[in-house]
Amino acid sequence: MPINKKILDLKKRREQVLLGGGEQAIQKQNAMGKLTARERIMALVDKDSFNEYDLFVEHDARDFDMEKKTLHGDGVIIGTGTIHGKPICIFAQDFTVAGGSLGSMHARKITKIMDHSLKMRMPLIGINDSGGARIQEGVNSLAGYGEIFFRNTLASGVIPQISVILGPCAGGAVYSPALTDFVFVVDKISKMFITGPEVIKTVLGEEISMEELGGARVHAEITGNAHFFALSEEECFQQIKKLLTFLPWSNTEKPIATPPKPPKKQYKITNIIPEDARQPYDVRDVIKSIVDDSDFLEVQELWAANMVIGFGKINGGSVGFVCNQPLVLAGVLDVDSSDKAARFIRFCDAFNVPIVTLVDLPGYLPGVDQEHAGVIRHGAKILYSYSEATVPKITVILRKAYGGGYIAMNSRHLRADFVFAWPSAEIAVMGPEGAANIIFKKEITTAADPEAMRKQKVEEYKEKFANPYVAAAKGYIDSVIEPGETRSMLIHAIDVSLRKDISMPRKKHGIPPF
Amino acid sequence: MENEIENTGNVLDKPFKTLEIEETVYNTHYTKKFENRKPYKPADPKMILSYIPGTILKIFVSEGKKMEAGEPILILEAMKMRNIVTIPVAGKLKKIFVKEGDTIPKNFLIAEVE
Repeated sequence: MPINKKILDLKKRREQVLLGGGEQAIQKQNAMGKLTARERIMALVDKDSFNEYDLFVEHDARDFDMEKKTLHGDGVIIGTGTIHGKPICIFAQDFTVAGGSLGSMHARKITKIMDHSLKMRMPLIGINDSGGARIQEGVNSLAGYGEIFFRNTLASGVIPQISVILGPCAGGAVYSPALTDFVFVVDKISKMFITGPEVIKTVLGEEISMEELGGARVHAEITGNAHFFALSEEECFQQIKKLLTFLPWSNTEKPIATPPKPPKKQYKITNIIPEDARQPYDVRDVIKSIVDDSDFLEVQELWAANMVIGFGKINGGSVGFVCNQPLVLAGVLDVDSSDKAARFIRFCDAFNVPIVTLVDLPGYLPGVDQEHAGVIRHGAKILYSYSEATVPKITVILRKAYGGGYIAMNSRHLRADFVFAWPSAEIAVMGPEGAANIIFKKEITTAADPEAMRKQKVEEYKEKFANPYVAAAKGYIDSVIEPGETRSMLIHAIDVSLRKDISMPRKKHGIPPF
Repeated sequence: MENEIENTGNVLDKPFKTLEIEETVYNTHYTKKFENRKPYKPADPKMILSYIPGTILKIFVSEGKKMEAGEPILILEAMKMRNIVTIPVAGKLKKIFVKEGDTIPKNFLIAEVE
């Protein structure tokens, strides 16, 4: 056969496979408000940059009449493309082909592209949309999942791994996103759970809908499994592209440098903190008055809102922010917020992103539910993560830093490189009310007017200790700075820390309080 | 002093609640989890609750029986296993609230001990 005929034949074969599960299945997918796998990849990567591999892979299942079934691409599309002009590896499960179920060849394709991304040191983006394991392939499906989970772990901390949940992701399958660095969910489309509603109903008699059990909102607000929440697939893709502007392509590279820009003029940093120490403010306003173009990408915005984490650029360089949020639960540390901060700190440390910590917290959240939920074990995670991190770590104490909270939020003692404090900072073992009641108990109880004595002692304690100067006198903080100086101090501090070179004592790895 | 913040995007307009930490009361918002937390109630050893949802397969004893600690009361079939529910303390089995064939959820009151 002459070559032209062979080329025509190739084109015909391609066309057939590109249809996936067929026109009808594609229409069904779109009717559910979902794009097809290929449409998603095209929407995400740069125009004309996508190259697909393993297009002609076929499944090798022979039980249950499977040999009679043709599953194009075995239900998954893998390939490489570029985002922001830089190469990435991507896979997208194709729900139109056997419900996107995972068989051994399907898993083989995914592990192939995962191996590529690790070998070539570039981010991996996985679009999950699958009914789960292909029961007909039995243990081969389980083997497939296992191989995927292992590679997720192997690549963890070497390349950024992003999971996008654009359909069901149930049972074992959901562990792959859980092992990746960032999980994106879309309202009403994402579903993640270990056991679905039908099984729960049969085994336990509890009734719940898929959306209530493991919908996008559940994971964005309650479980903390999702890092970004979008209302549409298009919004989700914009978020992914935005996130990638802050991340390095691998742990040996720097993030994309952008031209430095001053923060927007509407954020006046000096006027954010209210005069009354018990009134809250939104710490994101402080962040926005520091970062370039006031552009702050918040991570896990809807979960554990008493801690704010996210990325911004300072003078063109990526910075990770970990901040107490006085607007919610007075900015306390608790089980969820400790988990949230600790994992983010480890991500920044793994990928050489400097960490800026903004402190304003009264301590830990009291309560039996917190204690019984293990706030001890979870709170320790944040201490561990900060201590272990060797990236430049800079702390700015905005207002309250009491007791254990002062230590935990990247104090000098956990080896922060620079600790600055605003004049409004109160660095003390506890708040004036609580401290005065304990220290001056005798004076208060024996006084003629205990209430007046108590008020006087609280004022005395406030005068003497609720300020940054006691800590400054000990060198526990490096400098008391004006709020207006914060951005320039941070620029300088990060600049002089870029060549930081320290190492932990030799060990295989520590044992964080998981 | 008035805050000159305009257009800060995510300002929550709901009125503030209060949270007391070490005798200082702060104005702040709550998280949903914090609002929905269950107040602590110590467990009553005389009330035997189910620890898992399941079906009552077989009841071994009748009301009023005097029992030693650890003796079996009934079989609760759950997660494909026949789980034996035992009496935690010695005493008289005052009342049984289930019958064979009942499907019960978690933390359901099965029996009361005197």
